[in-house]
Order: sequence, then structure tokens, then C-alpha cells
Amino acid sequence: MTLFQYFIRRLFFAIPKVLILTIIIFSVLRIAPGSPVSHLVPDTAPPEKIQEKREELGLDKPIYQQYFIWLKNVVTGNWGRSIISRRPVTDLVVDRALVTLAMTIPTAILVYLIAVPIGIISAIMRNTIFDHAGMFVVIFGASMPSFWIAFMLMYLFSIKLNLLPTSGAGGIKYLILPVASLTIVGMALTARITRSSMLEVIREDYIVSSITDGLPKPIIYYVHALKNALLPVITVLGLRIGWLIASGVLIEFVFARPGLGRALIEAIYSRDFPVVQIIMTLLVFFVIFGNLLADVLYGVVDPRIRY
Amino acid sequence: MKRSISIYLTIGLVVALFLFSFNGLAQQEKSGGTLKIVVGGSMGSLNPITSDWIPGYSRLIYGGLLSRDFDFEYQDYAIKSWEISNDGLEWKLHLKEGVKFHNGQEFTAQVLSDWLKVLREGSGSSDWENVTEIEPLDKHTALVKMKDTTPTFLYTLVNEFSTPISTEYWNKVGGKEGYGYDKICGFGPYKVVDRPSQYKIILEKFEEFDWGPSWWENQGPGYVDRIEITYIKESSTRIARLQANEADIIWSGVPAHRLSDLKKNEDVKVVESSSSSVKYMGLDLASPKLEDKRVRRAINLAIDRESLGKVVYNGIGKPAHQFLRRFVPASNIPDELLSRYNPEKAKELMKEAGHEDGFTLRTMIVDESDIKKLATTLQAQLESTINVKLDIKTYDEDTFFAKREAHEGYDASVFGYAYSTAGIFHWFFHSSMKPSPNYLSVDNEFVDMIDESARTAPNPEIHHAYYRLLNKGMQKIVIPYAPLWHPVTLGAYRKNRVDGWKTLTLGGAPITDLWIPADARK
Repeated sequence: MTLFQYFIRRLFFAIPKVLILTIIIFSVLRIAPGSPVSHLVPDTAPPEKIQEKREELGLDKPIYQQYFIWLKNVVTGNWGRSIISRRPVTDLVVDRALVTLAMTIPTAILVYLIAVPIGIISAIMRNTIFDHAGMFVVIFGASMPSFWIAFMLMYLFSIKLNLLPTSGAGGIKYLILPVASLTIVGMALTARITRSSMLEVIREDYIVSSITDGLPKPIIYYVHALKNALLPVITVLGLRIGWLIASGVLIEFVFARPGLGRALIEAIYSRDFPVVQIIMTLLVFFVIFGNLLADVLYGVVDPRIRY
Repeated sequence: MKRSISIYLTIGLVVALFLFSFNGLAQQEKSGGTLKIVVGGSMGSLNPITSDWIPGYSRLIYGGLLSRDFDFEYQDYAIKSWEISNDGLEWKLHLKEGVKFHNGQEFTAQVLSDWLKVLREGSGSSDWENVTEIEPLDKHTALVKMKDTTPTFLYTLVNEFSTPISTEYWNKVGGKEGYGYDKICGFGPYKVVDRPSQYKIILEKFEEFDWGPSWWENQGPGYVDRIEITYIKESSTRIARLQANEADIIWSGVPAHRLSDLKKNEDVKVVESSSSSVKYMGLDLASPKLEDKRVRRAINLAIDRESLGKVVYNGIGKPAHQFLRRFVPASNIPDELLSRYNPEKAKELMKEAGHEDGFTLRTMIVDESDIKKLATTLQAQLESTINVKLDIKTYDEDTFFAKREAHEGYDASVFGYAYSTAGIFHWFFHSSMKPSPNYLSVDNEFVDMIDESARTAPNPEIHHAYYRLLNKGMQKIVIPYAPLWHPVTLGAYRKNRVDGWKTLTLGGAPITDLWIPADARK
């Protein structure tokens, strides 16, 4: 099976997963206490007005009917309107997704660009000052809550040094602090996995014999060992997408960024069903796609892997 | 003689010209600049027709039918004056002339009448439920006909939901589907020019505005050219913006625990005002543990509100010794009826009621930081004083309301309300409001009777007298609550960027009176 065929097959199998998860999300939202009607009709409104609103929103129908109507609309590109702001969900999600992606993509890249070299160097120079220093930085990042790091960076760079804006969304300068906060926290796991995986690989016979054969160490470590050491790092790539979005919510709140995570939390609180369902479905899709991407990357990194 | 008259006339003319040009210069001197305001509440949809909540800053855009001055008295805005018929069933409203919406539509008695029809399309019309018709008597006089007497109609006219929108604009943008996000049209001093995100709205001075309330210093267009309002949920980020000079005003939402920090900053002025919020412990009368009035009274006496406020709000605000806020006329009741800390009497009452060993109350609360702190401090106080333990369950707001509606799983609750009239009694305690919002199971003929008399009183004075009587009864006989704390509204602004600030009773300031000093505008 070629890589392309494998990719298509996995995509095909992802459809029932997405569908099952949308059913769960849809049902949980409907079963949970609270209703968007309470955010649209004052408590003083007579019962007929409340019922009228329920009918207008289609909430009077059985849950399975509501689900199929929603599914049909989503598939045909009609994502509906936010119950609270009355904005089309498509506009809202696109605006918010752009803000979130602007923060998460550079974070993901930076996490790998910084954490993988730290992991490699720590492994190669294990038990040296570089190893201890690298791991100290990494563990410090992992031990601190992301919002605390965010506030500390904000205090230092915005209030004291007046170099960067405290919050908001706009150009690159608005991205530096949120991306830095997320990167500091996010590096830990990747660096630790890279280090332990690299340590395992450099103890393998083929590496040891390459060293004794006199091959240049940089080639041994960065070409031969790294390729194999990267496999576990790639495995966590798919899972990191979920982590990035979850941690991103806090960072979006602290830096007042109008992103997807923040929209999701606010929509959950106001029971804005159309917004919650679409964002959750997109997140499910991203996580599944991230895992698929990780599987595909296995084959790229290690040609021995067959699909 | 003629000569001296002409000399006086000339001098008079020169003085008048001087004053006129001085005034113009002063106006010019104050005009210009962009004011950056951050707010802490939700931005909402800004559609008073379809929303159940609308932020206070919406007045900048919508203006108002009436206003409330620094003493919290009702005053003019788009309505110049009003008259009530002897039977209380007709209100004659005299509108100011020349009031225009941002799209140019004139605000007339006919528009007011048409707007009522639009209002009834949505959900925000419950305050206007009693109005059967608005009859335009002439272009600027409207006769409001009621099916019942409505002594609270002035409150209806002043609240944010009663701010008319341009009916022409409403129809143009497709009614309730199209109106509200960035398509907004009122007759306030500032108009919406952009909404770059859900959390930011940009307003521009409405040059034609000259119908500000008579008690504002500047009834004309605002001095500030442009206002950027940004919603920031996280309070520390709001404060960081002010400290980093990225915001000029925090309109409201400075948390009490950050007050001392801000007060140390010499560039920042903190403004404290009243709020319509009251925090209380609700006591469910249907709970077997609370059915004895002496137990409910004991709980009221066992709470040390001063120390509660110190722990939770750093002492910012006032202890609540009754359910109503002090600016509500019905709050004027004798001191002996107020709920004050008296641990000895509380213990005595518990003993009399046969509960000397105490009991446990299932207590539900909403997931808000101050409510959580209130509940846990209360837990410690009640247990140590009268051996009443609180088994606290925290819910998100929607679940809390759903539990209230289902009337399940609680004996007590810690909650807050924000309402600035005694009408809250009807809302929470009339038997027809069971099970929700009357979730404390008050079903009392006395309460219903006095409440109905108050609501159908022919004029506001009699209305207040009835509610005062009801307030006394609630404190002495019914006791479905233990009032806890009156929080305040805290705002802040940068002294070098904002001038002309005069704090209103419930926070904020008349917006057209504010200006940015010339050197800060450069």
C-alpha cells in the first residue's frame, strides 16, 4: 500500500470516529442542565414566550431529530448562527481559528526547534552541566502554571520594560508573549522524550560500534541516531495538538486574544449550541488529523515502516 | 443719555462676544483624541430587543429615555418631562425636539410608538407588558396607556432595555436577525463605526448630539473624538493594560483585592461607587431544617458581616443588614429590624428551636470566586457560632439555575442579585414566581398582598410605602435570607489622560463631560 493509499484509508476510517464523537458532544450538551433560552429571554418572560423561543431554536424537537437537522446543515455548509451574538458561526469560527492558529503554529514549531536540540544535547552530554542546566530549564517550565508564566512575562516586558503590548491581537508584537508562555510550558515533555529516546538509541550496538569504528560523532548522532530517536517524539505530536488548544485557552484569556479556545469556553457557559458543536467538531477533526499526520511522518523518518 | 446707553450696549456686546469666543475656545481646547476604555463584563450583543442582558456602556450609543442624576433621582434625557394621570393609567411623555438617531431618523412620538411594536417582537418587552398603546398626541408628545397602574414606569423608562433604536435602521438591516453585532443605531453621544472583533468596539463622536441630560455639564457632543472599548475578562490583564499605559479607563471591574496596588500608583485614580448588587444567603423555607423562623433568625444573627467583608472583599463595600440597597426608598426601615451580628442571641434562638447541636445545610453556589470565598467564610462562621455546617456544592451558572428551577438538592444557597428597585421582592418572593425565581419557596399571603398593593399603587410614593412595609415584614416575619454584603463598583483611570470625571451613583461618569488634556493628546 502506498503512502497516499494509506492516507486515504485512514481518512475514510476517521469519518465514523468524528461522527460518533459529534453524537456524544451533541447529546451531552443537550442533556446537561441549562439552556440557551435562559440567555435570550428574561426570567420575567411568560412561559409562552419561552416556548416560542424554544421552537424558534428547534429545541422542542427530540434530540435525535435535532442532531440529524444539525448534521445535514453542517454537511451542506450551513453552520447556522450563534444563538447569543447572532453572527454566522462560519464567520465567527474562521475569525477565531485564525487568531488561534497564529499563536499555536509558531508555538508548535518553536517547541520542537528548541526542545529537540535540548533533549539531544542533554542525552549526548548526560550528567554534565549542560544536561543539568537544560533539564532545569525544562522542568522549571513544566512546573509553572502557564498563566503564571504569562503574567510574569507580561509584568516584565510590558509593564516594567514597556517593550511589548500587554494583551490583544494584531501584529507579530502581540504574539511574542503568548507564544513564549506556551513554548516555555510546552517544551518540557518534548525535551524529556527526546532525551530519554536518544539515550536509549546511543546505547544501541550499531551506534557504539560506529563510534569505535571512528565515524565522526556529529554524523552518528545527528544522522543515524536522531532518526530513530525521533519516532517517540513524533508519536506525541498528534497528542500535542490537543494540549496546545487546551493550554491555549488559558493563554487566550490572559492575553485577551479572541481565539477559538476562548470562544469555546464562553459558548459553553452561555449554552450557545451551534458554536460549541462546530468548534468541538473542528477540534476532534484536528486531533484525529494530527495523529494521522504523525503516522505518516513515521514512514518519512523511518523508511522501514510499511503501511 | 443715548450715548451712555450705546456705551453700555457696546460693552455688553464685547463681553458677550468674549464669553462666547472663550467658551468656543474652551470647547476647542478640550476636543479631540481617542479614549481607550476596558470593561470587565461581557460585551453582549448590544441588541436590547433580543438579549436578556445589555452592558452599561450601551448608553454611550443608545442614550436613554430618562436618566438618573448624581443623587439617583430621575431626570430628563430624550424625554423632557412627564405627567401621570390621577388614576395612574396614563403617562404623558414630552419628548425633546431635534433628537436624531445616528442614521438621521428623527426621534418622535410616532417613532416611540413604532419602536414598542419592534420591542414586542423580541424578549425584552416584559417591562412594557402593562402598556397597551402609545398614542402620539403631536410630534413630540406621546400618551402611554396602561392596562394597570405601573408605579415603576420611571424605572422602566430609565433602564437599558428601554433605549429606542431607529426603526428605519432596524428594518433596513433585516430586523432581529441582522441587528445587534456591529449594526447598531441609537441616539446616544457616540455611534458605532467598527467592531473589529467580538471583544472590541470602536465609537466615534456623534456631532449632532445636543440633547444630553440637563444635569450633565456638557449636553452637546462629547469632547473626545473616538472611544475604543475593549472587553477583557481577566481582571489582572485589565489592570496591566492601565499600568502599561495601553488603556485610559477601567470602566468597572477592578477587583477589591487589587485596590491597594492601584492606589499606590500615583498616575492612577481609583473611583468607587455604589452598585446594585447584594450578596445574600438564601434560606429555603421548604427545607425541614429551616422551617422554624427562630433558626432563620439565628443564622442572620450568627453572621459577622464586618469580618466576612474583610476576608472576601478586603473591606471594600458595606455590610448588608437588609436585602435592599440603601438608595432604594423602601430600604428606610427601623434599625432594630436590621440583621446584625449577635452570637449570644443566635445561640439562644437555636436552643429555643431545639437545634442546640446544629445540623448540616446542603448549600449550592455558583462558580464565582467571590461567592466561593463568601460561602467558605460563612461555613466557618456558622459552624463556630451555632454549629450549623454548610455542605457546599459548586455549579456553573446554568446548572445552578436549572437546580433552582427543579427545586432540588439544596436547603440554602449563596448568591447575589443586581437590581435597583424593591421590585426584587415580587421577583423572588411572590408565590406566583415559584419554583423559580422564587426558589426559596416563599408562599405567604402577607407577602403577596403587600406586593400586589405596591405594584398597583397609583403613584411612586404609595408604591414605596408598601414596599417599605413589605421589607419590614421580610426582615421580621418571613426571613427567607441572610443578607451578607453590598459590594461596590470599582473603576480606575489614568490622571494624565482623563479629565472632567464625575462618578455616577452606580459607576461610570457622564461621557460627554470627559476630555483628554491637550498635552496627553499630542
